[in-house]
Amino acid sequence: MLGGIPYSLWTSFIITVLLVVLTYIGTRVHPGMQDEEDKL
Amino acid sequence: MIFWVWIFGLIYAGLLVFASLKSYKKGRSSEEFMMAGGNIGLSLGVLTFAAALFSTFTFLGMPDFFRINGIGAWIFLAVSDGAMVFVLLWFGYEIRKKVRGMEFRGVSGLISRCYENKLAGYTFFLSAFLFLIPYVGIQIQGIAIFMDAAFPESLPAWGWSLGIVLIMLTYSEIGGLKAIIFSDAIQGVLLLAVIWIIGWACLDHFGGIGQMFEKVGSVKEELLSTPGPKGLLTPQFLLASLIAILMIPVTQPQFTTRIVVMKSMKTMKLMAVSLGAFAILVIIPTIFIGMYGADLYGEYSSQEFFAMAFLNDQHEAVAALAIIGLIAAGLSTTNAMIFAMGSELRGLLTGAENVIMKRTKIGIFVFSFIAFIFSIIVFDQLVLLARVSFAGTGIMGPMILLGILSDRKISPVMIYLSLTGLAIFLMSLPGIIPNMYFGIRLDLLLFIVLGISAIGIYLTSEKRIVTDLKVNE
Repeated sequence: MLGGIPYSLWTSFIITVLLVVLTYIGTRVHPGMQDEEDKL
Repeated sequence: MIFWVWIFGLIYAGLLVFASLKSYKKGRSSEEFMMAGGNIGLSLGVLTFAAALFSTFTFLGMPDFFRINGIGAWIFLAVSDGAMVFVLLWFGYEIRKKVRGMEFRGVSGLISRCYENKLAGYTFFLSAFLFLIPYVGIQIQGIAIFMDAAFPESLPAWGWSLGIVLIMLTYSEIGGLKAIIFSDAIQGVLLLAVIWIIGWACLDHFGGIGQMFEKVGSVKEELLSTPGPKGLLTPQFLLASLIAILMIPVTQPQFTTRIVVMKSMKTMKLMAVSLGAFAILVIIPTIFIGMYGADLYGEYSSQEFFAMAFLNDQHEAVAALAIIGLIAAGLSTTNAMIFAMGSELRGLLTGAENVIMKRTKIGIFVFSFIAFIFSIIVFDQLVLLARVSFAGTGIMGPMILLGILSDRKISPVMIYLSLTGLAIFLMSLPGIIPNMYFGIRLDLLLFIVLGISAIGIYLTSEKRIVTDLKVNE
């Protein structure tokens, strides 16, 4: 328990948020995405 | 409560009628009807994807899953959804690149073209049919059971099911995909609002998050860690579920269609990120409802738990909102699935456009009817059936990914392997063959074998002749 919340829930919650942040970073750095946008 | 159900029901029905009339256009093309003109913006995109994804399964199933299996349910769905939006972004880019400049007529049609073999399309269609229709059936049944609990002895459960199917058919017939997307948007907002109102009330019962887990720990310690009291959420189960959920945008046609009909690449990528945030927001309150159930109704059946947590223990207006929210959730997901099946059928048909359209509409009617029959005869746990549905369609993942990503002429062996995988998985469901081999779950084993086969087939296949010609030029 950490701050009254089970350890497994804390860690898995942080992993979920990190995955969404990673997806956001993906939208910013993927070089092909900008190319397609230009062509559209 | 009846008064509030009427109020919210009329508002919801009014919004549906408005949306279907707004989407209705005389003399529209089949492309407009089936693909909403391929012009869906960010807010609608997020809400329609979320509404198709978060259905009765999330609304009722996830609180029940938390109640029975504890906090590991977060890993089962939320972590998998977080990873899924990443796959959505990557796969969205690849499929949009692939279909650019051509008319998208469903995954079946696309995959047939990629393999230059119609069997690929039929195989995909078969898996979608086998695993989506029962899932639609059980969703309809879930709503019917809930309605029966809310209004006992007013209608038999099959009467509610029939009503839901009829509304769904009329609605999609008038407005097409655009109307379904509008109704998804209404449902997405409704789902988020209702689940938080109920979740908040459940959290309030404990007085705070810390107290909630303290209380639940004193009731059943195993709920606070994996694999949970029933030992279900093992690393293998979670890993196989993760792969099955990762494959959702690839193998479930209602999602693939939504990726393709987004207005631009920019809206598609923003949609992926927003969907991840939406998933976290929707799943958090289901923990509170589940823990509330674990504390007060640990030994109750699922139906009894739903009736208590969503209806009896709530203020009349909130309970009424829950009923309407549930109808909306079930309606939009089933609608999306049935319509996607119609869209897949359209991709496999050949001939004059008006004949194809007519057959597609008959197909949608037939799929709805079969789903209705399923809703009467099938009984199963919502989340576990949903998981079987994800895994079953997920088996097609390697075949589709190979078809879409490959620039080479692909051997039809991958189609035969996928068909065999499908048959093996189907045989394991009623227990004809075991579902564990060498200590590994069958679904996980199938994902691994088919994934490795896809890589092997890609590496050994020849480059396309067209590409060679271009090189020669």
